[in-house]
Amino acid sequence: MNSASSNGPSRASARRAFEEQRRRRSIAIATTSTIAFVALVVVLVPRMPRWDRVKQSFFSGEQFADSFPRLLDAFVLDLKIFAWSVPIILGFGMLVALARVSRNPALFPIRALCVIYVDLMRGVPVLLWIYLIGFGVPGLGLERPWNSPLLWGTVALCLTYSSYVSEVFRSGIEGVHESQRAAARSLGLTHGQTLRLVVIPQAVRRVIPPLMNDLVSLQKDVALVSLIGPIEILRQAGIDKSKFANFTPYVVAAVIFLCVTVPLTRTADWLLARERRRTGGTRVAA
Amino acid sequence: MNAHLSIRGVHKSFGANEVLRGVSLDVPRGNVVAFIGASGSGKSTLLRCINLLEPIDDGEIVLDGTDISAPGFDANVARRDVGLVFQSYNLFPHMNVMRNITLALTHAAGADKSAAESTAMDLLTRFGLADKARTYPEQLSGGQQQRVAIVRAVALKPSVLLLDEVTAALDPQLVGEVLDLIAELRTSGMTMLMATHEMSFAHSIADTVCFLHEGTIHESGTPQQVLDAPREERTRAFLARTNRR
Amino acid sequence: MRKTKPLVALALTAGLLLAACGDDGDSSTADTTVAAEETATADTTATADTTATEAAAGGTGNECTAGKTLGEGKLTIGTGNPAYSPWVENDAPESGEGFEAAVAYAVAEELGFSKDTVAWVRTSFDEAIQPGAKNFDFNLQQYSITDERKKTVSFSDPYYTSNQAIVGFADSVAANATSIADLKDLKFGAQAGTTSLDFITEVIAPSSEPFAYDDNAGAKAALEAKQVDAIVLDLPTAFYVSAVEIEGTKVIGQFPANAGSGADEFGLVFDLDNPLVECVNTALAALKDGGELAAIEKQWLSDKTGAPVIATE
Repeated sequence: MNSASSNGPSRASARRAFEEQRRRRSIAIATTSTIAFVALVVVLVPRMPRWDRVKQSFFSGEQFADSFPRLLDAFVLDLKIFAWSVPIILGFGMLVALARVSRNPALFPIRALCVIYVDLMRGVPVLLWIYLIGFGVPGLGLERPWNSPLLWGTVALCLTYSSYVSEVFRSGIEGVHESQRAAARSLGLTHGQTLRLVVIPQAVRRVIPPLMNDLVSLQKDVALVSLIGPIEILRQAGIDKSKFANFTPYVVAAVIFLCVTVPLTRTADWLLARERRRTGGTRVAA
Repeated sequence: MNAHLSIRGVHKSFGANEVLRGVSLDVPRGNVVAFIGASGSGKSTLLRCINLLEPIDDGEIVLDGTDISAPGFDANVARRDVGLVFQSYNLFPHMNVMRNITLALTHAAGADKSAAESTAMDLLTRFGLADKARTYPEQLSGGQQQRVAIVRAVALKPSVLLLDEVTAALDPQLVGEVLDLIAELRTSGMTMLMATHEMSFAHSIADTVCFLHEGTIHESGTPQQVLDAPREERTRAFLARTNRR
Repeated sequence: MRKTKPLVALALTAGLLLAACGDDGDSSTADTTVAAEETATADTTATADTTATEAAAGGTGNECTAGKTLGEGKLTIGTGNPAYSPWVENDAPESGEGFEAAVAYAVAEELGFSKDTVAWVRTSFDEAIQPGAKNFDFNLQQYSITDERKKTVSFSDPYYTSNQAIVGFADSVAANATSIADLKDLKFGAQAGTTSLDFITEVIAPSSEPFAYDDNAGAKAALEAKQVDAIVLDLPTAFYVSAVEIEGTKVIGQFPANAGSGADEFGLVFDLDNPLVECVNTALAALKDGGELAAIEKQWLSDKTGAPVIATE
């Protein structure tokens, strides 16, 4: 099988050569299959019988240009809602998580309330909460501007997403080993200091991926506020679609969304990688 | 007698399991007490009780004349004076070595940042870890991590240091550097209580050796008395088992 | 024993698939009236008749419609889900009650179909005017005939002309508006994708952006919660909302027929370039000439006048 002599250096170089060849082979396979797939799509799809109609319906350049400024303008509303919601959701979600993991018997009523809150908000579709809170609360008799659908729609979003996020935080906190708490308390740190300086920083670092998931999902669910009136990007896309009988406005909206979500997730990935590099020890190679 | 630390009739149960069944001991200032015994004999529990990490069910723990186990006594104050080092070091992974050490100094002991950092740096230099000040725990070897853990506890200038099987999780080659550090602390006059399996180390530095069996101190005395010529049958049996290693 | 389980699963799946496929009414309406068919083939297109000719039970259309309907010998009509008053009463178009239900059955009869060869399907407002194949012969849901929509669907001749109207609370700022200028500072709401919303943005052009909703239910809820000062609807719906649905509201005004994009003319919606349109237009013409359309309008939409006209200058 192996004709290499027991001489050290030539054995090492034989191994290197073998691994180099193997690496080249896998790169070749990966590249060819990717090119083949892309070529297939690019070449075959336009040859399909009604490609022109589909292209006109979904990818009309003219319609894209026409709708783009309108949709970008509407997107500002989505961004505003998102910017307001995120800190509230993270803050409230953390509070609820802390209440649920606390072992203080005096806090039992609050803990029970939090369990009910999470079960309710998660168990019922967000859409229903938007209608209930967005129309229902103002309908009780609030005066303008306190009955604004934007305000109560955002409240509904924050309440529902806080419940999802609180569960993510809770799993992160419970994942921090008990011994960390023991060490911190032994040093004389109070319960609050232990949470703030030792437990929560570790908990949050652990749950950044699922948290990012929830935030990306939130960004899309912001559009649900349009159900109760405000014209944000997806509603405007719908209006354009009805007016011009063309689906391209939705493609425009998708492109605009991606321009925000992709950098967001890449930044999170980068932050995580940086943290791992900074604090980590040896990692298994491949 | 004016003992530095007095443990009187301490009882501790976890649910139906009574782990400590009346432990009493007086420790003079600057003394080193080594606890030996089988797993489950209560060594760790005893140390965690002295540090008030676990509340005791009955008995008293008196430090320098103050009953720190009294209900209502601020445990955090006591914990700054009684340091505890764990078998698994428990360094904070998201902070570097320097921050690990200064955290309690700035937040629990109220020192300002520069004073804390200079204290930390002095200790790190003294124990040969000065160049590791900005590294993270995961980048250190086990022995280095444990030494940092001890420095972290010592930085608060406790009057008593508790060491819970601190070398048990280390590779044999790394045990030596940790034991050297402990020996140095002893020379500087620190009162220490340690649970350990290292019989020869206990022999060389302990003033008192206590054999714990099923929640009580079965035998205690000087290392020569307990380790070389144990009176009790159980002590002998235990030592025979461990020496066969 | 083990062999029968997969067979059972296969049978169940096949059964489900068949049931799903067979659901566009093909198999349901019985073709029991074969005999009646023969008598109904006589020419039933009304000429000078003022009363609609009663087709025999089991009527399957006339010469014009032959081969042009979705289902052979049947007329499939689409409407909204739910269908609102006064266009359809009690969300039951099969009853023939409500303006649009009545018009639909009148057209069907004129075409030689009878009540039992008419089948109803429900679609959302948007669905029917999207490009693509339809599951109905024609659809009626107060669709205004617009040039943009004509790109993707075909319309019959109009069967009704309606003005846009504004509904608001009688005791609010909006109530006394008499001109467009009075309306500029109000907060408006309307259903998205309708000529009503376009009317707000293009003709009224208020100082704050209007709110848009999936359906009129949303617009009404917003009015009740006072999140909007006024909502814009077609006139008949406006009357129904103010008289029956939301207490304390009134029709503040209607806009004259020459305002903005013109008064809304409602047409029946067909698949693009559907040959059936011709037949239906003939039927509509007959109904108009015979006065039947006017009679239906009088019966179901009696409050055509009564709301003040708001000047657009």
